[in-house]
Amino acid sequence: MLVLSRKEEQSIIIGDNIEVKILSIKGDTVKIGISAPPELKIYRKEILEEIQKANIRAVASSKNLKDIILGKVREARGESNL
Amino acid sequence: MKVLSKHFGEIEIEEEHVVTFEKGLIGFEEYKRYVFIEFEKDSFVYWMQSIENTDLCFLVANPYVFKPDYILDVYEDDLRGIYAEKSEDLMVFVILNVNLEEQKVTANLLGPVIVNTKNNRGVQAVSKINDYPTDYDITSKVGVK
Repeated sequence: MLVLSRKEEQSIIIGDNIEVKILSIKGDTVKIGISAPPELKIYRKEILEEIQKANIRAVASSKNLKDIILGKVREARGESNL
Repeated sequence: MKVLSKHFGEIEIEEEHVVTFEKGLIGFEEYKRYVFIEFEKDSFVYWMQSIENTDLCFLVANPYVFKPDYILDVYEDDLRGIYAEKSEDLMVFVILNVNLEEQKVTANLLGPVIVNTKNNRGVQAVSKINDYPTDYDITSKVGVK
């Protein structure tokens, strides 16, 4: 991993068209501005981790559900006519 | 071809119904081929069964049934990956999570599953709307009460 020290308002350039700028540092929070082509996917790592956890839970939760949900969906459909 | 499914035993499926996720699903990247099995006739809920791993089966649903204002806002890159050309070709699903202890069914609105019906390519995208929850409560719609 490349490690660089930066101050507020200083930037890092990645490749030809990505700029990462330190906008502000307050307490334990660093505000980062990223200028990058719109097709580049950028998200907080926690978002991916959250989805991964939800996927793992979903697989576990689909165990033995068939009959339980089947009945309930019918019930719900009857009530709300979905 | 014959596939062993988690909930229905051995099922016969046509190769043309297999949906390929080149990147797999988030956390399950190694499994790339799935079939969608209707929960019941004309249901908005489907089993999404891996044909490479019998134990890998998700319950997914059409989000517009319980959240008509759901916005599909994802990165171009994800749509290019499934060669999406027209939005009419796309089917959108959200993965459900059933918590029996809490008698609750939730939907993951943050990581929609998008299928291009023209070429059976699929992707699990990350919504650009970061405040969409992974556990949107839909208990009253598919209730487990």
